Parts: sequence; C-alpha cells; structure tokens
Amino acid sequence: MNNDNRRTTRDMERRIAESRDRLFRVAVVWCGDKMLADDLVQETMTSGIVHRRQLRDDKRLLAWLYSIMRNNWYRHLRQNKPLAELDDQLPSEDFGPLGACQKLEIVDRVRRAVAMLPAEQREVLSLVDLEEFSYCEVAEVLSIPIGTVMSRLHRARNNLLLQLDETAEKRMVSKDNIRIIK
Amino acid sequence: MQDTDDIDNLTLASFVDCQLDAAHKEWVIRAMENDPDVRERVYRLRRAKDLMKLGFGDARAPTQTLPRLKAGRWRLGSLGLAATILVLITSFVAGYLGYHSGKLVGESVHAVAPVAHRQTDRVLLHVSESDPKQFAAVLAYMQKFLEKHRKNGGRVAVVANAGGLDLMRAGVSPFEKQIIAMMRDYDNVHFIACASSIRELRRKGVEPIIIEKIDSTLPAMDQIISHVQQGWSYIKVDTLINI
Repeated sequence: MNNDNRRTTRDMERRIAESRDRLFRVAVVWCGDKMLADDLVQETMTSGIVHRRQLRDDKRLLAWLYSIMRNNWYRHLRQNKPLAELDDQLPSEDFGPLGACQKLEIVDRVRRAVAMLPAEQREVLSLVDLEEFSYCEVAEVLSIPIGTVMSRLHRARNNLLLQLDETAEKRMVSKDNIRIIK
Repeated sequence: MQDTDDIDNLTLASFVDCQLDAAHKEWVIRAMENDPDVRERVYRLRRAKDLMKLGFGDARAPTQTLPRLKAGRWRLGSLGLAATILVLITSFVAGYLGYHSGKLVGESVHAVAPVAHRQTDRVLLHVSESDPKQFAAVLAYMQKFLEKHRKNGGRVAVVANAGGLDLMRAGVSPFEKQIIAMMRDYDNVHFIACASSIRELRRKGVEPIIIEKIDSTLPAMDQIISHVQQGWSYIKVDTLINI
C-alpha cells in the first residue's frame, strides 16, 4: 500500500469514526436499546471500514453507512425473530444511556412514544428529523420511493403526536383523580 | 401557484423539512399568514420534529473506539452479527482463494489458502456448530497440518463459538483428551474459546467449563479479525469442509 492509499484509508476511517454518534442516535431509535444500538453501530463501522473501497462518492459516506446499518439491522431481525413481522418489532423501553436527559419527563415520554411506532416509521422519522436527510436521500438509503418516504413520515408524526397527546391526557386525568381524592 | 386552501399535509411536511423550492416556500408562508389552520398544522409538524430532536438528539454512543482497534460485538445473542462479520471476512478472504488443500485432510476437505498475501503456514479454523463430525475434521486437519509444517514453524489455531464451543468444554467435548495432548505436545497450536459465547451461556444459566489453558479472553470475532489482519488464512469449517 503506498502512502497515498494509506492516507486515504486513514482519512476514511477517521470520517467513519466521526460518524459514530450520528449513527448511534438513529440506531437507538431503530433498536430502542442502547446496547443493541451500540453493537449495531460497531458492526456498521466494521463493515464500512472493510468495504470502504466500494464507496464511489465520498460525499455519500453517511447515507452509505446508513444503508449498511439498515441491512445489518434487518438481518438481525430476520435471524432473531424469523416469524415476526418487522412492524411487530417494538423496541424495549430501556433507553438507559442517555444520562441526565432521561430524567426529563418529556424526553422519556417521547422515547416511549417513538418505541410504539412501527419500525418502518421509526426509520424515516429518525433519518429526516435527526439526520436532516432530504427525502431523496432517505428514499435512497431505505430503497423506497420518495412518495413512500413522505407518507411514512406523515403517519409517523401523526402517530407520535397521538401517542404523546394520549399520554398527556391520561396524566391529566390522573392528576384530576388525585385532586378528587384530596 | 395553487390556492393556499389546497395545501395538503405532505406539502406542509415538505416545508417543515426544507424540501420545497423558493416559490413553494413562499406559497406556504403566505398561507400561514392568512390561515390559522395552516399555521396550526405547521406548528404541529414542527412540534413533532422538535420532540424527536429533544428525545434523541443528545444520544452518544457508549463505545468510542474504532472497530478496527477493538472489534464490535453484538449483545443480541453471540452469533447473530458474528455471522455477518464472518461473511465479511469470508468475502475478504475469498479473493485469495485458489488453493485446495485437500492433501492436508483428505479429499473431502476444502481449505482456504492464499494465492499471494495469505500465509499458508498460518491457518485459523473456525467452528461454530456442535457437530462431532466437524470437531473430528478440525482435529484431523490440525494433526496433518502439524505434520506437514513440522519443520517450517507453521502455526494453526482454532476458534470456537456458539455450538462450536462444545469442542472446548471440559466434560462435554468428545475430543478433550486429544486437545489437551495437542496443547501439551505442540507449541504452535492455539485453541481459542469465544468469550462472548461463554458469557451468553452464563447469561442463560449454564456455566461452561473450558478446558484448561485454552484462551478465552476475547470474542471470536475479535480473534478472527485480528488473525485475518495479520495475514492468517481463514477456514470456516462448516462451509468449507464437506463432511
């Protein structure tokens, strides 16, 4: 390997390493569990480094990594829950890693609400809202038409808000009950 | 441009997600100024977007080392993604395939050996199924390898994970005595038990007792990646050996 190749390889590894937290944020949404998400990201980065030469356009690195991560995630789901529909794969409610943030009630409620969404809606939501990907990029990463991206996104947001509003209503009722008891 | 009454939710979502061109943006902004319902719908979409960022925006990966330096491993059950890694590695090694080492273990054995970069005198065997036939093939391969490379310092290692761990479990392995004898008689053999698989068994309430002196410090994946990176030839027993 000559010096230029070594430099390119090192540069690619550095860029992949720098993508870790971004990948992780999306992986947490997909998996609903920080340890699984961490493994998924590790696996994705390993694949990225091993197959780095397959990336033709450096500007597409992140989208390429997300494609790898999605393939790895679906492979895992198929291997571990072969008889279940992907939409049935609700993640666990353990979002332990996020320290102080988790103490915020709203954060906890959002995560629980997202965990209730079907996997395909979580994917689109995470890539658009967390990664700020364009609809075109999401369509490319997920290998679905743009129209499907938009409709999934629409349903995801509606469902998310519905879940949150229902939770809020229950909390209000609960508080009212407490007042009555008093 | 259409009448602002016609604005649908997908267009508003595109606006919130910065997917519209200037003309359409202006159209939506005008509609928001004139129509409280449109404003409310945009607010609702932005709220959903903001909540997502609030919920997950601060997440940071617990592991921060490059997988090359410290290979990742799934905690999902030791083999789900290990299999993926192996596919990757196998693909990587496959480029160097070109050598049929049936001489070592008879005609039924297809071994991996390199054309150029892989070292034919350093071979890593990988067994992941609890199959006595595969165990026997592994040991037969190692025995013949050691005979062939008696003088040139060839090295052979076997890494076991998942069901393959049974090969290295004391009181379970049908070849326990042979393994002990091999480790005693040869310096150039190395038996490796996957730390992740051991941990997984413990998690399930099984305490696997590994044969003494077998290396069980790292996950199989880490060992395989490390060996392959150092130029070892890799043989996946269940796919490359026809028993």
